Amino acid sequence: MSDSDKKEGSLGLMKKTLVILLISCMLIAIFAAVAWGALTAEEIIRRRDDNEYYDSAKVEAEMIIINRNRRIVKTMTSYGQGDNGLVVFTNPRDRGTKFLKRGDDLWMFFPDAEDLVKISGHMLNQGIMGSDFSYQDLMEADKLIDLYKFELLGEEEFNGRPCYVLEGTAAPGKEVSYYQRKSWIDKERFVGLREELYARSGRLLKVMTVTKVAEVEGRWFPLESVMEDKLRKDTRTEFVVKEIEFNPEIPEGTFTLENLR
Amino acid sequence: MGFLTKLAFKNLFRHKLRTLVSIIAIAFTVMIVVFARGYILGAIDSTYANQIYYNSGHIKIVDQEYWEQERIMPLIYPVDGFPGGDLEEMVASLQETDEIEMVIPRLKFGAMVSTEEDLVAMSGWGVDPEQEIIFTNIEDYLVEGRMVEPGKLEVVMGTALLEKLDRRVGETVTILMNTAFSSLRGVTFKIVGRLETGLKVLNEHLFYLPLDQAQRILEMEGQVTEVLLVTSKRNLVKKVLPKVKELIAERGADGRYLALSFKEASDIMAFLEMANIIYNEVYVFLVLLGCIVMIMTMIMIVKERTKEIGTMMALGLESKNILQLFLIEGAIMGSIGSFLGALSGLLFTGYLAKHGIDFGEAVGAFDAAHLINPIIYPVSSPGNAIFAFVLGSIIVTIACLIPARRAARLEPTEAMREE
Repeated sequence: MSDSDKKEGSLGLMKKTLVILLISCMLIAIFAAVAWGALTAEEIIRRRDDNEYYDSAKVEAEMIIINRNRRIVKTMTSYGQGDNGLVVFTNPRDRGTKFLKRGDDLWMFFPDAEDLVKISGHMLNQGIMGSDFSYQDLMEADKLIDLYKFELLGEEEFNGRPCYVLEGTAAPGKEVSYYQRKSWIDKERFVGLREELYARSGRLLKVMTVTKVAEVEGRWFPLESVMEDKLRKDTRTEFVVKEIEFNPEIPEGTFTLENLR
Repeated sequence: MGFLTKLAFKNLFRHKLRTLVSIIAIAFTVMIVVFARGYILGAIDSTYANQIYYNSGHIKIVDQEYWEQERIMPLIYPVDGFPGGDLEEMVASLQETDEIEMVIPRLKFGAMVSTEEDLVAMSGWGVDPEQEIIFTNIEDYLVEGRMVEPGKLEVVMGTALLEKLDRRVGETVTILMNTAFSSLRGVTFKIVGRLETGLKVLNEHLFYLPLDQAQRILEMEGQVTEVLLVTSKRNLVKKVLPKVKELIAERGADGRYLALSFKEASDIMAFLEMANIIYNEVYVFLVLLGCIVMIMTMIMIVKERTKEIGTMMALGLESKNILQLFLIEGAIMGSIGSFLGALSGLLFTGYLAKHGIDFGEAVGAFDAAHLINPIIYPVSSPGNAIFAFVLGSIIVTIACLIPARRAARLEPTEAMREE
């Protein structure tokens, strides 16, 4: 090979290497950008918690218990603040009944009872008043991210909305009613649209479906949902939020036992 | 025959010890049969009684849907009268039916009490106190206080339940219950009486309250979960049940209400009936067992007396006489043994009939829903003893056939040559 040929050859090689290097850098940059943009399971749940979790709120709600062909409607006003919650029933048959949550205890007041009734621990897993919601279901106010470890399973469409599908397993040391849950979370709005709740044995215990979502005070919130207890036949309970106010003025002493009586 | 009988007696006396052993074996077996029968009858009787008093009366009327879900005690399928009428009217019509002595409405429901550590689940029975007292003699089991009174927020509980709740007669207790419209109600009652019946269900799981209060609290005015019918004797049920069903059909309620006899109203009844039949066969088997001793003894005797039998035959005794001879010997032992056994069995069972056998611990393992009395009072009846006596005698005699035929078949010449 002549000298000039050699020079030509090595230059060509350098050019090729440069081009390959440049393309690789570009590809890496693109992938990096995409990767940074994709959300992890943790982030998805955080954004959902941002929407659905509240530190304090006042809610006017309706609980509709459907058992075979019987339909029973209960209305209530509830106040929640951190670990405390107060539910006051307002429909005629239940008027006067109040529930007070303080930490892990539930206190109940009934007009015909001389003393307050306290229930705690595993008793809270029983269904309230024959509904598909347990006391614990209604009382659980902790952020999901604090209770479960989540894994992103993929994406699916639910009721016409594109969703992330996540699986959560109880974080070690955390007391939860449902050992595992599979959640469908709206990709745009970061609201849970469907929830399958499982026991440690893998048995499906409950299914919750959100049927109406709205933007309230700058966040997306599930307004109407349906809970089905899979261990019972032919029943479901609908929960409808009529009004919700975040961070309202809550009078002092709302969450005291004296206030219950 | 008379000669053979005398001979038989003589022979028996010759081997006093052996005869005695055989008689004792038979007596023992027969005694066991008398006791076993008395015991089973006692157990069945007491279970019947409990089923009738606390579960179904003689005839139980419930809504069909309720019956299918009885375990969870739903309140949405009540008995509240025939079409076009109310509960009171239905009760009156049933009362008019032939042979029905009492019509007893009951409202059974689930309830709970929260103690410091636990949510104690229990059943409440809304009853008409007067009728309950007449029907079940519940006052006999009230060891403290009194029965509830209509119109008052009072309850009566079993000793074990009160212990679980850490309460005493005279104190109050707040009971949580779900109404027929799924409202949770907490009501404070006064505990006015304490029960001790030995029945796990009554002792540990239920409380009585006045029917009118139960109906009011549970939002079930004019409704109950079941209506029990009581006749004067439980064997009248066969006659009365069709009449009740007719009445229900006449009033157009046969698509809704079921009328069940006390036997149909509980699975344990069918089981006991079948067990009874099986037991009868067991008795026969037991007696046969006892006979084994005797058969062995007799075979031994036949062997020993072979020479003697041969001699007798040579002297003119026919083989059928030999057969008869041994049969008579067996019959004598059988009758004496059975008689002694029946007598001692009667005495033994009689003693237990008064004091009862306490199965306390064992019954504890049973599901509380089964009204099984832990104390069984065997039935002690002469009829029972006579049955055992006859059974024993007959079976023993038949069992003797084996050795007797052996004896009868002996060839005289060969027999005489035996040593």
